[in-house]
Amino acid sequence: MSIDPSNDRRPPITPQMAIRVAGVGVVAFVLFGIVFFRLWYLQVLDGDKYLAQARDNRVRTERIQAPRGEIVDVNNFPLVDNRKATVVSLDPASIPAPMRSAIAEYGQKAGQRAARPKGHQGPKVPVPAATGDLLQRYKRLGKVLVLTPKTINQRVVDSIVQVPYANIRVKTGVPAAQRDYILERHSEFPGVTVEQLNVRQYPEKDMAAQLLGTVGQITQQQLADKSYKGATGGTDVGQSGLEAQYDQVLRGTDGQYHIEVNAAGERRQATTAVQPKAGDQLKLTLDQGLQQAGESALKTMGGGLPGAFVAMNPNNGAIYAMGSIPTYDPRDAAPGRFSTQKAYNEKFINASTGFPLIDRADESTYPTGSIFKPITSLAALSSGVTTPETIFHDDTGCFQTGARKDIDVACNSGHERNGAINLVDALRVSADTYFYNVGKEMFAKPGQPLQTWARKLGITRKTGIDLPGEAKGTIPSAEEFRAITRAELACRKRKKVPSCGIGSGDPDFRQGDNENFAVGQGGLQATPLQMAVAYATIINSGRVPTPHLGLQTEDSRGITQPLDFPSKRKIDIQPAWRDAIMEGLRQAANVDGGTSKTVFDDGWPRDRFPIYGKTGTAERFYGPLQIEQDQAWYVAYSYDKSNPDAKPIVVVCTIEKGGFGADTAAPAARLILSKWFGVHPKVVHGDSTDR
Amino acid sequence: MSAASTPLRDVDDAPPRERARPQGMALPFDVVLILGVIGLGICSLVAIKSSTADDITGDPEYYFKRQAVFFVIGGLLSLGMIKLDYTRLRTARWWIYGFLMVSIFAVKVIGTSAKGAQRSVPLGPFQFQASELGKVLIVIVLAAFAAERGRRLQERDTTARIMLLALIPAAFVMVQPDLGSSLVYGAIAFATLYFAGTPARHFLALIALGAIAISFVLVAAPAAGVEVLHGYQKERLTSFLHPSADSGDAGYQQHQSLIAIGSGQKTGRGEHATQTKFNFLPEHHTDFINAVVGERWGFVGAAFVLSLYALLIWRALRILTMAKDLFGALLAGGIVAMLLFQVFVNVGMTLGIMPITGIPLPLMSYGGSSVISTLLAIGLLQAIYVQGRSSAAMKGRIMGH
Repeated sequence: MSIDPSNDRRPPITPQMAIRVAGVGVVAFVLFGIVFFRLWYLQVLDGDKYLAQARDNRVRTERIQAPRGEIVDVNNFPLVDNRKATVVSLDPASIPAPMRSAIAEYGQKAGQRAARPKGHQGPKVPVPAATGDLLQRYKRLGKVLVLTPKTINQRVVDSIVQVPYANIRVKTGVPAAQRDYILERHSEFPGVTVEQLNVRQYPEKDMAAQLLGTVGQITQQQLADKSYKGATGGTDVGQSGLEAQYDQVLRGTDGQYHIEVNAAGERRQATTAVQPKAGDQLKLTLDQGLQQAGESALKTMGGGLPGAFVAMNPNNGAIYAMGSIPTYDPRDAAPGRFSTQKAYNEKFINASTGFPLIDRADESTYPTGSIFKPITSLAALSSGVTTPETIFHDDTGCFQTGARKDIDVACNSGHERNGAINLVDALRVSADTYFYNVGKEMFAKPGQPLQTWARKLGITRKTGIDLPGEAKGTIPSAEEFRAITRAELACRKRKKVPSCGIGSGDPDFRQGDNENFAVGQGGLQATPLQMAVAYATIINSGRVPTPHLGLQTEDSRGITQPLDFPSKRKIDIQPAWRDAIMEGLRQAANVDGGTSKTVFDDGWPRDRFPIYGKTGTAERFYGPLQIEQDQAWYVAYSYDKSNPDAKPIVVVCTIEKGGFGADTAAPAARLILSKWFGVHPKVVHGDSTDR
Repeated sequence: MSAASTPLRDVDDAPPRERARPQGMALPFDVVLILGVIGLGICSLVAIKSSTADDITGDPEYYFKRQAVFFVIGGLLSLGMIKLDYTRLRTARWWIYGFLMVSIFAVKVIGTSAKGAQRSVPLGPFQFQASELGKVLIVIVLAAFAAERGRRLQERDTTARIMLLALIPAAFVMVQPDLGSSLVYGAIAFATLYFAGTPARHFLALIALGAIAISFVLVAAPAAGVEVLHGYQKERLTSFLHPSADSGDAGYQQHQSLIAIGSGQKTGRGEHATQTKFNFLPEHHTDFINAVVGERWGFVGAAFVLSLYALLIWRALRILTMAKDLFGALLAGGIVAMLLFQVFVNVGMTLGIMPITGIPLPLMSYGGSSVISTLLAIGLLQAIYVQGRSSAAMKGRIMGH
C-alpha cells in the first residue's frame, strides 16, 4: 500500500467534519427512530387489525344452499320437491356506490309514499336509472339473458331495496348455452355469478297451491323476525302457506365454503366446508288423489266459479283435502317470474282472475246459510226454547218476524208449507220458519244463547290449523252491531257520503236480526274450515278437533317426528241433542223430502257408506246493485260401516254464486266422497229448492 | 464531564478506546461491517426463498439461486476492492463519468423494457441496470470533483457544478423512467456538498430552486400541456397521503404492504403468511421485500434487519471519520447518503409513510445490479478504512519518533 505524500493531505478529521458527521448521525438516528416507531405501531399496537384484514383478503365465504325439504302427501307422493336450476346473479358490491345509495334513497322514499293514505300519496318516486358503464354492463348481460336493461335494473333496484347485501338474482332457469357463454367470458361480466341452485318444483302444478304456498328471498323484515332465525340474506324462505308455516322444518341449514383466493380473485383451495344440512321432509295428512278429485269436482260443478272445499277426519282433525278455486301454479308466483310488480299484480291480485292467492277454505269468510242450522238447533235445545219433540206449526210457509204486518215477514224458499214439524223434520226439509221461531225465542232468553253457541262451536275463533293467515269470522250481536254502526257513521262523516256500505246505520240488534242469524244469515261470517270443525264437534259429541295438514317430519337420516295436534277444547253436547241433530242430517240426505236425498239416490251405496248432509244456500249481496246471487253450501258426513273408525270424513263444499246447495255444492261433495270410498263417481244434481 | 478535568484533546488523535486497542494489523478490514453485510445477505436470501416459492412454476428457487449468485459475484468484487488504492479513482473521474453517461444512453438505445420502463441492458443471462451502478459511480465522481476543488468549496461555482454533474445523469435516468434512482443521485449530491462544507446559503438557494422546479413539474408544466412526470409517478408520489383499500388505485400496493407488515405482529406469521403467498403483495421480492420480512418474522424480524442497516450506517460514518483524505471522507459520505436514503425511503414506503418511488432496499431486494453495486460501495468503504488505518498507523509511528 503506497501513500502518496504529494496529495494535498488534510487532517483526517477536522472539527467541522466532526460536526457534520454528528449531524448526519443525528439525522440517521431520527430516521431510524421514526421507522422503528412506525414498525412498532403497525405490528404491535395495530397488528390485530391488520391480521384481520389479511384474513379478509384471503378468505371468501360462500354459501352452499341447503336444499329445502320435500313436502309429500300421506302416501309419500311428492307435492313439492326441488330441481336444480341455473341462476345468474349480480354481486351488489359490483354496483357502483353512488347507484347503491341512490337505490337506498329511492327505497326510503317509495316506502314513505306507500305509507301515506291512498289518494294523498303524491307523485311516484322515479326508479333510479342505470347510466354509463353500468348501463353498458346491463346491456351486455341482457343481450345474453334476453332481458331488457330496464328489467335488469328493476330487479337490481328491487333486490337492493329488499335486502341490500344479498346477491341479486337476475334470472332463474338460464339455459345451458347462455350459462356457458357467460362462464367462458367471465371477465366481460364483472360481478356476475352463475350458480346451480335448488329451486322449488311442483309436480302437481296448481294443485293445493294455496296450501303449499310459495318461497322467495327473505325480506328485510323477515331477517329481523325471530321465526326466521338462522336465515341469512339471500336465503329462500317460505313466504306463504305451509312453506311459511313449516319454514323452520323445511329450510335446513346452509353450508359454507371458506375459499382461499389470490389477489386476482382466483380460487386456490377450500379450507373448511360446513356441510349444508338439507331441510326435513314434511309429510302431510293430505291425500293427493282426493285433493285432485276435490279440485276437479269443484271446477266441474262450479263451472269456473270461485269456491272451496274441506275434507277432514272429524275425529282427529286431519285434513284429507282442502282446496280453493281458482288456483295457480306456484312456480309462476316465485320471485323473478314477472319482471314488474304490475304484471305480478295483474295475474295474482286482481278481481278478474279471482284472487287466486287467497285460500278460500280458511282465509275467506262467508254467510253460511242453512248449514248453520245444526248450531242453532244446539243453542235452542240447550236454552230450552225447544226439545226434539216440540212441534212447530208451519201452516203458511211464512213467519211473522216483527210487529209490522206484511213487511216483517220471512218465508220458506218457495213459500213451502211444512205443516206440523219437529226439529228433525225442520232439519230434513230445512224449514226456515222453524228456525226463525227459535231465533225469536232465543232473543228473549238471557245470555245470548245463539251467539254463545256459535262461539262455542268455533265461529270467531281460529281453528288452529297449521296455516298462516286463517280468518276468524264474525257473529251478529248487539256489540257487533254497535261497532259496525260506529264504523259506518265515522266513515260517512269522513267521506261525506250518505252510506259507506259497512252497516245500515241502525245500532240496535233486534229480534229480527237474531231470527236472521238463526238461519245462518244476518251478518254471520264463517270460513268453510270453521264449519267443518263445527260439524266435527257435533259428530264427536263435543270434542273440538284441531284441524291440521302436517303429519310428521323426517330428517335426512330417516328419523321421523310426528306432529301432534291435540284437541284443545271440549264442549258439553248432550247425547239426546246430538242424536236429534244427526237424525235430522241423516233424513235430509236419505228420506223423501230431504234436501239432498235425490243427490244420493242414484247409485250411492247407502248401506255401506251412510250419508249425513245439510244443504245451504246463503244470500249474498254483491256490489251497489245488490244483485242477489246465492252461495251454495253442502256439508256431508260419512264413514265406512264395516270399519267406522278407519275413514270417517266430513266434507264442506261451497261455491260462490253457485245457487242452490243441492244443485251444485252437494254433487261436488258426492264426487269427493266417491273418490274417498272408491265409489264410481257420478254427477247427480239435486232438485231441492230448499235453502 | 467537566471542562476542567478533561484537557482538550488533539483532534488528530484517534478516540481513546481506539488507542486502547492493540494496534496490530491482525484484521486488515472492518469486520463488523463485513458481518453486517453477511447478515443482510442471509436475510435477503431467506426472505426471497420463502416469498418466491410460488412465483416461477417448476423452479421454486429461481430467484433465490440467482440472488445467491449476485451475492457471490458482488462479494468477490467487494473483497477485491479492499486492496484497491481508491485515490486512483480520483484521477479516473472523467472516465468514470463518461462510462456512466454512456451506460445510461446505452439503456435508452439497446435497453429492454420491463413494466413500461426501459432501465436495463441485457448482459448474458442477466440484465444490467445502469442506474444502479450509477449510484456508486456518481458517489465517486462527485467526491473526486469536490476533492479536486478542495480549496474553492466555498464558491458558488463549485456548488453549481457539482449539482449539474449530478443532475444531468439524474434527468436522463428520470425519463427512463426511474424516478427513484434520480432521487438517490440528488441525495448523493446533497450529501457530497454537505460533507464538503458547502455554505448554508447555497443549500437554501438549492432548496428554493428545488421547490420552484417541483412546482413547475407538478403544476406549471401540466398547465402548459407538458407532462414531465408520468401520471402513475405523480399518483404514486401522492397516494401515500391517502391510502385506500381500492385495489384500482396506486394506494393498493401500499395498503397491501401495510396489511402484510401489520399482520406479522410481534413474531410474524411464518408459514401462515398469506399476503405474499397469494400474491396480494406485489413486487414482494424486490421493492416490498421489507413487507415480506415484516409479515413472516414480525416486529422481531423487521427490527433485526433495520438494526443491521443501522450497524451499516454507523460503520460507514465511522469509516468516514477515519478516512485519510477529503476524497475518502466524501466517498464515505456519499455512500452513507446512498444507503441511508434508500433504506429510509424504501422501508418508509412499505410502512406507508413515504411515497412509492421504486427504490430497492439495498442488499435485501432481489436484483443483481442493486446487490453488486451496493457491495462495490461496501468494498470502497473497506478500502477507505484500510488506507485510513495504515495512514493513521504511519502517522502514529512518525509522531512516536
